[in-house]
Amino acid sequence: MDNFIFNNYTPKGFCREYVEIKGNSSQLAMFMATVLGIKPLMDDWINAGRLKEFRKVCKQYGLKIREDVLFDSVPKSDLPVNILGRDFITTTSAYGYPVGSRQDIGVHVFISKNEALLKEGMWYPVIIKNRVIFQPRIDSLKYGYTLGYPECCIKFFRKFNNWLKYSYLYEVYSNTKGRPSFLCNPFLKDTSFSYIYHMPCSYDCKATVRLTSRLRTEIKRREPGYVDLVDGYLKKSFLAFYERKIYCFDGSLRNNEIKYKRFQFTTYTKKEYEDEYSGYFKQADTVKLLGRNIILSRGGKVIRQLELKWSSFAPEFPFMIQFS
Amino acid sequence: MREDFLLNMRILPEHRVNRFEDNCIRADYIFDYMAERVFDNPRLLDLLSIKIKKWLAIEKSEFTYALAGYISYLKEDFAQAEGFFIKALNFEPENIDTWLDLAFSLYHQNNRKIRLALKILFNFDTCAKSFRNKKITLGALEKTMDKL
Repeated sequence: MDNFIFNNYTPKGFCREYVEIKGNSSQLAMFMATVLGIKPLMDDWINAGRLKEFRKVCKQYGLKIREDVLFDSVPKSDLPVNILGRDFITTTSAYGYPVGSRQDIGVHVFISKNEALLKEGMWYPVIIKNRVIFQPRIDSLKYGYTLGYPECCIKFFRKFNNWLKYSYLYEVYSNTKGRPSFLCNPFLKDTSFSYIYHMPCSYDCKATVRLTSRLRTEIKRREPGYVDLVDGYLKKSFLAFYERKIYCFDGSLRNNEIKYKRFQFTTYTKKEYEDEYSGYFKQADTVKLLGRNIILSRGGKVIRQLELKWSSFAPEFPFMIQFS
Repeated sequence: MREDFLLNMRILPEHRVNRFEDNCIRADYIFDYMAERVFDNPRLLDLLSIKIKKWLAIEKSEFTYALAGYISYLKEDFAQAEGFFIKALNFEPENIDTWLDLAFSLYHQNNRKIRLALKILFNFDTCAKSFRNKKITLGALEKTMDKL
């Protein structure tokens, strides 16, 4: 499978050091946004062995840093069953250690131009003494504001982020009245090619467009090559099922059909079962969505038809979209 | 007081102690439930701020001090929350929930308190055992944590 989405990008100048120290460029745009004062606060993970260098880079860019805890990430499936709270971990699972106790793992840090905002950093659940330590609920509810997300998006997320009841991406799609803007495309937010890290309330959210438009303009002044790449990726065609199953196609969308040369599953995962369709897409050059059916063709001839199953958790309401 | 709380919050004013050996992630449900209610209805916090003063005048207990801590935390008055959680702990020093709530109220203050917060988070079990028969103050906590 082509891995174009997961390529790193190293800037020519602006924030180059960030990528060199991190070893990857995920969250590069968010770091740039924080340096530019557009994003009030961000959090990140830096290898403990490179923390000293990272502090210097932050100082160089006028950023204040707060070091939180060390994260020793572990796949959830590898966690012993006697870890208290194991079943309530939704995303990353990690053991926590005090900063300074190890040099081989990542440090969770908060970064901001405004020192006063560092106090608003949010604890991420980590395992300490066989127990997952969770943050107070109010901290996670309010964190979107601290990170600079638009209020409309925070409220929409509050209402529809419920994997038992809604297909969130589809709810955003339903809430989109105008033309989907690439400045509101969240599908690549876990790669190096995204202007946003939040889930917007619609794919034409005015507040998000204002925010990312400003960021894009400032980045373009300093790293035009990066902007060209990001724009290009964000304007591709997508077939979305739910947050962990989105495919990106190098091709145009017309009448719920995409003719493509290459494609990529956009979730970075080691769980092969999550990438349900790459094997099928490899055999085709056209994918069409008809209700809950995926029709694959090659050379104008239908080669396969797939029917989506219903599920009670993380329900999938597939849709195709191309941002412009 | 508890009836008044139930009438206003529509939450049962039940308070359980979460001891380390109970192997329970969190026995208290009120703090998180209040968070959801207050986040959706911020004006509720104004009412709670008035009510808690009356409730504390009626009843000085682990429950009311913890409740006062939750309300202060929701108001983002973390120093006040810290004070209330310490008072609650002096009633019940083995309550893991309150130790963690205290840690998080310190977590959002100055660097010295953040350091103490992290020490408590990494040693919550030691905290629950070390203060069984001792008065908990911020100074006493810092002294104990410095030895770890």
